Amino acid sequence: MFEAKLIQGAILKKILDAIKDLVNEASWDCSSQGMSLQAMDTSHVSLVAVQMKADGFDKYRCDRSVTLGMNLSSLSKILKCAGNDDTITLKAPDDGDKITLVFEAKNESETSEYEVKLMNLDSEYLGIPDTPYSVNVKMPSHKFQRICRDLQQIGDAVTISCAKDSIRFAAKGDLGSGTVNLCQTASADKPEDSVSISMQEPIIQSFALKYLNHFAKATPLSPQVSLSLSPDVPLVVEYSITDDDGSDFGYIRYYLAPKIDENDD
Amino acid sequence: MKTKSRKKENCNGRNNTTNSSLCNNCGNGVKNGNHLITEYFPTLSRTRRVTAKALAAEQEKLITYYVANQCDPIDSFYVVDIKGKGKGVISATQIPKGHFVCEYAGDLIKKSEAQEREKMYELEGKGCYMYYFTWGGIHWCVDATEPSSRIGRLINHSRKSPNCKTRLFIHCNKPHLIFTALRDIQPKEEILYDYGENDKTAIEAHPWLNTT
Repeated sequence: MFEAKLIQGAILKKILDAIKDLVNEASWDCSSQGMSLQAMDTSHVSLVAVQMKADGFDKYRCDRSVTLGMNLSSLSKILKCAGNDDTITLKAPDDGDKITLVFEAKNESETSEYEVKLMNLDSEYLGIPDTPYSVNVKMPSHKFQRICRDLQQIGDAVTISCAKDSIRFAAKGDLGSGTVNLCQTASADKPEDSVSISMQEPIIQSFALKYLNHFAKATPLSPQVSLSLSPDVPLVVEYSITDDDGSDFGYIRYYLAPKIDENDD
Repeated sequence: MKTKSRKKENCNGRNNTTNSSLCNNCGNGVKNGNHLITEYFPTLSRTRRVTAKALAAEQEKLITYYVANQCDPIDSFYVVDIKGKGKGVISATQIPKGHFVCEYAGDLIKKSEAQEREKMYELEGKGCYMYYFTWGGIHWCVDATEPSSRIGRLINHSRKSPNCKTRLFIHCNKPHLIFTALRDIQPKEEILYDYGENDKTAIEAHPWLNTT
């Protein structure tokens, strides 16, 4: 039996909004540690990994590890039926072919129950090496979202370059070009507005904006986003998930393979 | 007891569609000038934590498909001439233990009719492809004497080292005989099951029933 209760059901709604357009079908791996999901988009250019820790839930029970394969847009549609203040409980019997979602409205006697069909998905599981990155940037997530959105007006790809204590996003297209420069700022009063850059070596790499704009859909989950880059490896875009008390609940990590350098053979 | 007659068989059943949904974008190709994530992160074989019950349900579904459509998973097998045995069925793929192999397809008749047919076949000098079994307290027989495109009737016998066994599968309230793998069957292995003949005179007439 698997059962997980989340008083702040809105977190689950936001997580689904952040992945459903990138990945259509995926499996949640539920264990005593928590719920996790790893899936590639259909073009196999990007990867999303979600982790929700067991102790972040208000009630969590998982007697036996289970894999819950499902259509994420179906799950998202059903989560749309839950109010933002609702408590959400997920339930799945060990041998069932459905997952049950129970929504309880705050201070009301109303509960609603929905079921989503499960499916057996043969998905590939990728091993992500745990390596240090040359550049780590933390910035306000809404700023990252705006930059990606603005630059997509200019071109399909963004070239991210980092040198000293600034990061630069640049795009070129038929109509012209655009660049956004961010410098390191420390804001003691509002840490969520700060930009911090740590760099071992300068870097310049291009990425498809289409995917970055998909990643930016996780913005409501976290005030800050972290970008990690190294030469010739995928970019990591991480949003940490925290609840209202500020305690750590998990993360959404997106990995994006770089554009092929036109100077390459 | 079944003895093999040598006739030209052609297998033109329907295709097995269950394994064709492979993804087209895997590998080291590139897409729209973008590297693929799989170039950087190794693919691990995903341990599908599917419950035994779910696996069994999947198998039942597969068997129902083949039984209902009266066809065999022909992509998984080829039919060859085997020296001294006539036709035989060779596996083209790996078949995991417990998985469906194919159906022993033929006419489902009652024992009384089967015995009459057997006499007739004997007079005509045809090989015997009768498979007797009991279901619901009645003796039944699947008669596969008539040549068909189905491969079940071509599977040879082995008492000593069979890799398949017969199982009753009920579909639409009718019994069907199906073969399932006794162990993991490797590609290029011949599919064999024990014909289950215990009649002494038959064994004397066909010593291979005991010796193979």
